[in-house]
Amino acid sequence: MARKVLLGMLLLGALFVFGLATFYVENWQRYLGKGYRLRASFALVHALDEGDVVRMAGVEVGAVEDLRIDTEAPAERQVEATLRIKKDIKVRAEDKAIVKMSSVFGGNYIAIESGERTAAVLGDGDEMTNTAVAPSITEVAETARATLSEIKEGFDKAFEEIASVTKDLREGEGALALLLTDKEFGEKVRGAVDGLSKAAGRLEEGQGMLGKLVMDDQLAADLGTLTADAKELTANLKNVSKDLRDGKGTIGKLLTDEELYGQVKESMGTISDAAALFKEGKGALPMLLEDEKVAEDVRLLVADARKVSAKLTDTGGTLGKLLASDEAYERLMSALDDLGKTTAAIAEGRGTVGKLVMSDELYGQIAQLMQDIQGIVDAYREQSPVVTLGGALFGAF
Amino acid sequence: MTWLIEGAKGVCVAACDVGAFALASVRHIGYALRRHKLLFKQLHEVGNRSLLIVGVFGLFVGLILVLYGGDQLRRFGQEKYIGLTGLAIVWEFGPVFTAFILAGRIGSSYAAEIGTMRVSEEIDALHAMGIRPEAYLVTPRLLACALLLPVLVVYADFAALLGGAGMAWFYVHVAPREFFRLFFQYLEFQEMARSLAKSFIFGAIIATVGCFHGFRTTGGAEGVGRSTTASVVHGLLAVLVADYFISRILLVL
Repeated sequence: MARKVLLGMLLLGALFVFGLATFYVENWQRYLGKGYRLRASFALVHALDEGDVVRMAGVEVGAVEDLRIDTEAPAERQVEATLRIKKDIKVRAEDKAIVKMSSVFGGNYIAIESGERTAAVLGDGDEMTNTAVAPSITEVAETARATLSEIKEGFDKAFEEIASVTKDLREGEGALALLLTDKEFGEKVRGAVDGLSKAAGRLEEGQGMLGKLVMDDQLAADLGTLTADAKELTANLKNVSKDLRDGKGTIGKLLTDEELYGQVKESMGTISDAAALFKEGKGALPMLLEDEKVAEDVRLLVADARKVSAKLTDTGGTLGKLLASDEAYERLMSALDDLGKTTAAIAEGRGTVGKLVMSDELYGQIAQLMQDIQGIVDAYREQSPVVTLGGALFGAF
Repeated sequence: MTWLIEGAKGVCVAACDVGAFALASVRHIGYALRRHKLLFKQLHEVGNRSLLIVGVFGLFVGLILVLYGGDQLRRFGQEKYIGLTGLAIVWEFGPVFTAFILAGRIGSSYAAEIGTMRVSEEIDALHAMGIRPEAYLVTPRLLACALLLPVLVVYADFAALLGGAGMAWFYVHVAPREFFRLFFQYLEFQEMARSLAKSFIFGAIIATVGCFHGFRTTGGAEGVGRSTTASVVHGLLAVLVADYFISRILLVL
């Protein structure tokens, strides 16, 4: 009997141990030698627990065997997880272990994302250094809440401003409110709309200039021709403009030659100086006009000139003979003929002066001319008494 | 306190007896295989004569599961997943419910038959004739139950799936093709193997418990009745307890 009790106790004890062992059956594979272990450290693991799966590309390749926290370790690596990986699965040094959520209802797993294929294959006891933690649903919700709060604040402000504007409109404040509430403005708008409606009707019926333009085919054809002509004209103007820019022709050179511009400017300056002298009463001419003594001298000079001219008319003197002589007359006529020929040659662009007038080389000649003008003005300034005298002489004739 | 110790002693003795009984039965497998007529007779008894009850039972299990499952899935608009109830049939309902049927039908029958032989001293006569009663009576029954329960489970699964597919069609409005497509999409061979392995062990437990209670029968017809009742109760309990521990082990293998 006692032997039976003992055997029974042994049998029941064995069954109890067997039953108890089933609670740790997840770890049996470790002792059966299936797979190998890897270590991975994380800052936190959310709700990851021992026995949670390890997946690679979504396929279950192992399980979390152990989780330990080391408060002495750096914060970003304080949780060390031991992973049991199936023996036929290769995890490489570049692969990344990430703690992820299984679903929105909870649960976590470790996902191994493949890295460089050429990296070394990890073995039993090695550590995965490349780790990360995906945000939990709480963190995602918190971020979403903050974002939504910001959006709500923006909307609130916008609605406040809209309410303020609406209030102003309702109370008739501001230009827009006046526009909306002013009956007279409404009547004007209505009138404008009516006018536009009528104009549109006339346009549709082909009345008026614009209507004809829109509806009349002949007018449209004429407009087309006119447009073509305008295009041609524009092209020609472009060519002329191009020539001017390139300095071709007289006007072009006038526009583009800086030296010529300088000369003109200098001449204008000289004229201006002369005018200033005149205004200030300097020189003979202003004095002639303003100084009574000079005026008296001029009168005496004119009287003398009259005497001279009287002597000329009686052909007694040399000049009188010259004036009365036929030989002198014929010489004068010949000179006038030469002058006519010269003028015709100029008109035809022949000769030096003609070319100066008609050819592209006018630029240089004008420049020279301006220099001459400047010289003349300078001479005038220096010889103003002589000019005065000359003017008096010519005035006598 | 004394009664507690006596009770514990009684449990230990019973455990020792069951263990010794099971061990003796297993030791005579060779004898049972040689006496194949005895084995075939038990195979016919356990298999053929259980087909109807197992089929009907499986059919209604399928109907009930889909009825309730479809109702729940409809609340979430996920009726299309009703085919997954087929997985529940394969994992648990098929093996456990078929084992229950056999515990009620075969386990009680073994206890009553062998108990009657015990009270009528037929077993003593076998001893006298030099025949080992465990080899002659228990081992063929043990083999028949252990071998045929997995077969009956497959049969019950088939009946339950048919019933489930029919109910899914008429009640949940999911076509049988879709029902079976989803079922076979998620069914894995490992799960089917676990189910059959469990069934094998359940069959052995039912036969052992039934025969053990028959062999321990004392007290005439009344004792036969007690043994029959005890065989069914202990058989169901042993199946459920074993189911839990076996499932835990098989799930990680």
